[in-house]
Amino acid sequence: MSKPQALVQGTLSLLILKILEMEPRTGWAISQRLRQMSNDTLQASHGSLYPALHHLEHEGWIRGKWQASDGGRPAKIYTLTRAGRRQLALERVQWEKLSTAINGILESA
Amino acid sequence: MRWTRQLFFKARAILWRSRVEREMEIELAAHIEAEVTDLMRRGMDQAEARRVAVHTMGHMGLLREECRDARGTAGWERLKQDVVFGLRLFLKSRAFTVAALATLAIAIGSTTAVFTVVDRVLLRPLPYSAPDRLYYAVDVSVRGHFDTLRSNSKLADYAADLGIRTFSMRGRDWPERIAGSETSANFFRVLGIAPLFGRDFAGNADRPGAKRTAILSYAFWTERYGAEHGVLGRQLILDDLPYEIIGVMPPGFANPSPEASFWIPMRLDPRVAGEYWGVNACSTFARLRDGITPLAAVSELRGWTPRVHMMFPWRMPDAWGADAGLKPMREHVVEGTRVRSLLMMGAVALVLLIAVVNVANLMIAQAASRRAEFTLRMSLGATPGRLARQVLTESVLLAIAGGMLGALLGVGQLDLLKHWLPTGTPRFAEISIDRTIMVFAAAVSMGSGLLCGLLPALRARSQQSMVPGNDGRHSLNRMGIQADATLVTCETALATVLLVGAGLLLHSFWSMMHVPMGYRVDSVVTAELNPERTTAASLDKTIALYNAVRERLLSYPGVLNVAAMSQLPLSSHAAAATFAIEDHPRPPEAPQFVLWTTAVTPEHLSTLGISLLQGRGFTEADQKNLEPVVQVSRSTARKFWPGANPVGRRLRLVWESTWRTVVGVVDDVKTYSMTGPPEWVDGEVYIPLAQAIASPQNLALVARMGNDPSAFERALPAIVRQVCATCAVSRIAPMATAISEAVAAPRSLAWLVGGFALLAVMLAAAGVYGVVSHGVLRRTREIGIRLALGSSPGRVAWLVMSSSLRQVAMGIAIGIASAWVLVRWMESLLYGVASHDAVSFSLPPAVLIVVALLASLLPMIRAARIDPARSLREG
Repeated sequence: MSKPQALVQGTLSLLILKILEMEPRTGWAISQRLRQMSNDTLQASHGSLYPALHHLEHEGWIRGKWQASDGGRPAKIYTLTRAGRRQLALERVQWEKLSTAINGILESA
Repeated sequence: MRWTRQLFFKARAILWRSRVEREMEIELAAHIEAEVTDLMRRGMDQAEARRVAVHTMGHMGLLREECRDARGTAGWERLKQDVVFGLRLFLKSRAFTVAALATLAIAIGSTTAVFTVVDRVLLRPLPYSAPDRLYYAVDVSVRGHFDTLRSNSKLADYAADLGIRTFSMRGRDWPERIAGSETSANFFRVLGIAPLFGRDFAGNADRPGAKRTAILSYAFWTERYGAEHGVLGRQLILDDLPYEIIGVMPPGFANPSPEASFWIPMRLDPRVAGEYWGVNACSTFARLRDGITPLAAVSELRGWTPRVHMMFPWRMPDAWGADAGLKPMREHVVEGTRVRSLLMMGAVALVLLIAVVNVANLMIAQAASRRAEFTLRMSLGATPGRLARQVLTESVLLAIAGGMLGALLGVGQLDLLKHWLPTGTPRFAEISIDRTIMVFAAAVSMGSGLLCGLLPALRARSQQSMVPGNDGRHSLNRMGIQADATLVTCETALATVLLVGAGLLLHSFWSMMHVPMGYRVDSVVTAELNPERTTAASLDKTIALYNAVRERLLSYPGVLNVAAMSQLPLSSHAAAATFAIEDHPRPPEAPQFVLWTTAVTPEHLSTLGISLLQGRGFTEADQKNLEPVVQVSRSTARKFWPGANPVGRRLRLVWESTWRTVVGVVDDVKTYSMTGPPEWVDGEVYIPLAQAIASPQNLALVARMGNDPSAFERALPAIVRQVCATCAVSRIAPMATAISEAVAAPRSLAWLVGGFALLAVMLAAAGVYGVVSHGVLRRTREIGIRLALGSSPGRVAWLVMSSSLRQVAMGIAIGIASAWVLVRWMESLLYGVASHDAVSFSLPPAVLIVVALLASLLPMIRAARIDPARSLREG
């Protein structure tokens, strides 16, 4: 059980927004996708995903809707909102700036 | 619209908390289920899959907490938790709760009640339109002066009233006395208030020949006329003259005083020169016109002074009118009450502070017994800040509950307070609890809650250093002891200040009551004889009436003697006249001598038991047409003829040419008020009633009784009516009552502040008891060791007590020093006592030390009785 190690503060929300950009998903599906996409490098404890989701929902960047899942049980499906799309673009730019800067430092040193 | 959505989320999370929580649980459970299914598909058996799924979720409790944080309602949730926890704690430790609540309720209640009065009396604007434009005209007290200003001012509108006067109103059987006020015709218009219904006085109502009209007070209208609108046009017969009722004022209008049952126009007739120019009875005020500054209005007013000076039918001293000016109406209204009110507020604020300190004390003691709980919570991850917030929440909760109780109590206390306040308190009728007061009470409650939680909260923060597992009883928390010490010192200092103040006021009141009156008080009954105008149309008629009444009264069993005076003693009734004294010539530009003048019958001295020091008393021979005579008081004689014989000297009224000869010197007596004549009076003279300056409308009767006067008091009106059917008798009371009424204001203040001081001492005693017994509890083990090592119980007791005594002594020192500086604000309220009075400054320390000793007695005994073996085993 680990904290989202190797996840720079705030990057989890960037990744969630990115994952939701393609299609709406449940929390579990997001965590699956996160593992898949990063080839299990980002081994976040599943639980820590939810506070981040609730926070993004509270900010209005994603919206959770209750729908019946395949098994008939209700499942909360998250969708990216318009504000979320803007936020994604913004965070992506910031991330690129940051990683360029860090790369620059690493290469020059 | 981001914030609206967030607000929505927050509101939803708060209002539908259980639903939001359920949704979270379902979501988390769904995740685990999906994970289990996924793992099983990969070949794990169900039990193993579930174990792994749950494990990868992480710490569920922490997770839920983080999710709640993400909702942005965590603060609210915690507050709710703290509140619930606090309430549970209060229910559990009832003694603590009751003590703290009672302390806060009494203190907040008293503060609210006193503030209600002070707010109304000092802070609220007067209940008239644009009250800040109203100014009181200082030293414009002659009708002619006022009338001239009213007719000529271009910057302000002047109006005036003649104060309160009682009139004989013709009732069904015999006349009764009703108080009313004579005002200028524009009185209500200038104040900016209109009758509730009916109409205002006509513009010329105060001119000679105008129709007599009257406006009733709301209270009088409801009491006497059953609030009937048909009252308009009916007649009110006052002093034999009919007045047409033309209007009724709104309830609460109480100018010049709440006693006024009606208003009638004053007479402004320059042809009646004595009245128009000679009587100082007018109180004048002005409303500045738009855009006019007070400065401009004052210079206009002063500009008129020399011209008015010339208009007097007789020569006035050149200095006349030099002090005329304007001051804000509100300042004038509250003049005498200001210091008193502020003092009351100060006293009650001190009590509130002491109460707050006490509750802080209680909470610290309470916290000591909660160390184990705090330690446990900290080891479970609570931050020091979290604990501090818990403690603050508790104290605010206490204060809110205390405040609500206090507000209820305050309503009762306000009634009590109103009962205690002297009846002359300005704006008394307006005093009531309203929204402002409620807001004030709420603010005071919150403030005291935060204040009394502050120290305990800081203490809770400092728990950090505690090692889990140690229940804390052993550690001697140095900061804790110091904090307690500071509290005791604070409390004692505050109580000392209050005690000194109360001591000064009580001492002053005592000396006021114990300076000899100079006349007989016991077995003397006073009353006022109020004949109708025709019955007392001339001095001869008045005297004839009096002689007849006197004869009847003397035949009543038990009556030893009867006398009459132009005004009752202690009535604070203005009765000064301007005199020229033969061997004290004054240049015309200097003010003439103003002497307090009382017309008396020959029996005056014997009935009241006033000593005659020199010369003779008046006799029946001192008649109108014979040589005019006067008596002077001892201090007057000493002032004008020190070392010489005053008998045979002469003085005269400035507007008369006949000299009056001094025939006797009588002892100084308290006629005007308990504190002597007003300071602008140069001396006191007595004139025989038969030679009085003017025929008194009302006559003060004084009867000396040989037996219980109560039957006589009841019989008095009937006896008088046998002689004069149209005469009313009012203000029948023993002389002692008149004295008691005269000292009502200083007495109520002394008792109120004294009461608060008593409360403060009790609270301080409770505080000292709390701290000392808390200290004993905390040092049980130490004391046990000391006893085991051979300390005597006496030494241990001293150990416990000496520290608290040191704190008390320090508090007293600080208190005395502060009081020494503060008392100069109350100098104006003191009579016959120096403001740094030795008794008032030395008694409080003694009282407080004794109280502190008594308060630490019980814990001291407990400390001495500690069983060393047990305390060591259990500690």
